[in-house]
Amino acid sequence: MGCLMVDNTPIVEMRNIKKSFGAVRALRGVDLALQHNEVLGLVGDNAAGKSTLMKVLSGAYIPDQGEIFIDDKRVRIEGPEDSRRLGIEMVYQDFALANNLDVAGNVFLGQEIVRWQLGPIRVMNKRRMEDRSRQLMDRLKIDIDSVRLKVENLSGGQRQSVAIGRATAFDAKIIIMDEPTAALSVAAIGQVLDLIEELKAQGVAIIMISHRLEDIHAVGDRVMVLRHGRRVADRPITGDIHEFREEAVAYMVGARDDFAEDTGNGRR
Amino acid sequence: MATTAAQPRESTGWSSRTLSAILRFREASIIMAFLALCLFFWWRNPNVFLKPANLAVIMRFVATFGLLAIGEVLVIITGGIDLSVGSMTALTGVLVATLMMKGIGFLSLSPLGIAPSIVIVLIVAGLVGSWHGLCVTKLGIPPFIITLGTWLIARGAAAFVTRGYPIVFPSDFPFLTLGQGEIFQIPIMFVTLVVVAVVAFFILTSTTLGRHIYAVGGNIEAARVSGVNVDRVRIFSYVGSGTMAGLVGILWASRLGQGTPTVGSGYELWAIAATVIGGTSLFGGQGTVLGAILGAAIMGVMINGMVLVNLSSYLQDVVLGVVLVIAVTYDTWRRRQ
Repeated sequence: MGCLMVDNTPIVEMRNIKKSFGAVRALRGVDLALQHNEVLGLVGDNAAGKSTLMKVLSGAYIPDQGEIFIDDKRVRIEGPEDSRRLGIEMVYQDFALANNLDVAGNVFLGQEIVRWQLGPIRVMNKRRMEDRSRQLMDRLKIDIDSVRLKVENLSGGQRQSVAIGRATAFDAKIIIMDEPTAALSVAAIGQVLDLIEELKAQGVAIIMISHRLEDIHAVGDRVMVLRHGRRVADRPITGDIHEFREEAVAYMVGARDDFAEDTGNGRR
Repeated sequence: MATTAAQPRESTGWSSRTLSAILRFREASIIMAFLALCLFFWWRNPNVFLKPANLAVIMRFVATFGLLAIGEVLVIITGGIDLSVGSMTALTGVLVATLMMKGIGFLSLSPLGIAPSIVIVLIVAGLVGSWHGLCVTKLGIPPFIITLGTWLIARGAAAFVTRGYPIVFPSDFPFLTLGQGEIFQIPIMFVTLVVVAVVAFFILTSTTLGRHIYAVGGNIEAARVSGVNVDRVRIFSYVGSGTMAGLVGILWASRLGQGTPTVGSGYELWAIAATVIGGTSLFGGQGTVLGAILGAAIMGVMINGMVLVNLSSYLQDVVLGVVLVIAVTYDTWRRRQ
């Protein structure tokens, strides 16, 4: 395990992240490392700090303390623009898409391709946005008849696929997904998991928050468990789903608490 | 993938494809309703309905409500509402007359020319709109409330400034051409509507601003996290609505030959009704310029037609109300299909 090997440099490293909301200590010094081309499952009970940690990484929250490294370089993330510029995209659980816009409109929302500009008037190049959206859907094997369909006419799985797909439209290297498979039908969950594997195959690193341990077991390489704002487990995903579930739940509810905080990151 | 959808499309003939395209076209049913109305009133009153003088009357109605509805549709798409436009019509009409005929005493401003007066009034109206936008976005005041405030303030201010008396233009004043003049028998007011409509249509369908207006109405949080400057978009929509009210105020001052504080009473509701008849959803996210104008056209033809067939003015309101309810019910039903 040579520390100088480039392969072992995590694409994201968060060190000792602390964040409080008034008297509530949501994150009490959490470390997180995400390797290149890895799918990391982030689990924990409600209010364990999963979403808070991800909002710190995506720039929605500024941590009280702690450091973030992208490819071994210290970075400051003080807003969603910062994290997007660093190649981090977040797919939100419920407010991902504008249902009254079409697929192409959603893919390019906020980042429209402009044909020409006169002062504040920026005229869109709709044809190119549609072509690029079509290419994106094809590249990610997302099954959608037309990118001119309004999102409200898509199925739940298609919608979530578009929401995830649009995150990759702008060369994101790191995608954070908050409960991507919640509230989806079984078939739709399959679609989304296929998409996650496809993204991984194309070299993207993914952090996936989920209550659905079977989904994390299906596509994840590693799992990290948070409990009361602390990391209580962090290990590769091995074994069958029953073992995995039993172990993860034990850490989530605090029945097991044997995680040595000092492994690998040199605190103490 | 794409082929699965392409197959049925290719197997159907040209005519059925065209037909389904027409049926899917949002405004098709509104256009048909409009044509049916025109035919009806033409049949009831063949001698008057199509006379150029009557058509000019209709076109001025349509221009008035169409312009206000365009402003209103911008706001309603973003999920807001602007109740101030009727009163703003009165205030800006009084203001444009005051600027031209009297000047403003306490600013030691002598009477101004036509063009500067119009520009100043449009800017003032836009500023009032931006006030609404700032209150809604930065202070979180419900749009209903803040524009209701202006509804009262603007009406009261217009009456106070004029002491309730109209400010009358001389009958040969060149400014009056704007509201009374015609180009090839088409009222200049209506030409103004067409020009404004083309600009508004272009903004809504082709620019990033237009896309963002729809996005804000469709899902404001999605727009925000996508990097859309949500506040700026919403403020723009209120500025647009305010400016349209100012424009209508100017046109009506010219049309009536006076700036009068009683003009435009209830116009905000007519404008909102026109947008709704035109398929705009009051929940935001849905609406078009063409729909707003068609809604205004339906109302213009109905108001004119009911006068032509001598319907009691009390019943006219009843009929318009019924039409509004039918339009909304039909639209809601169609959307659920």
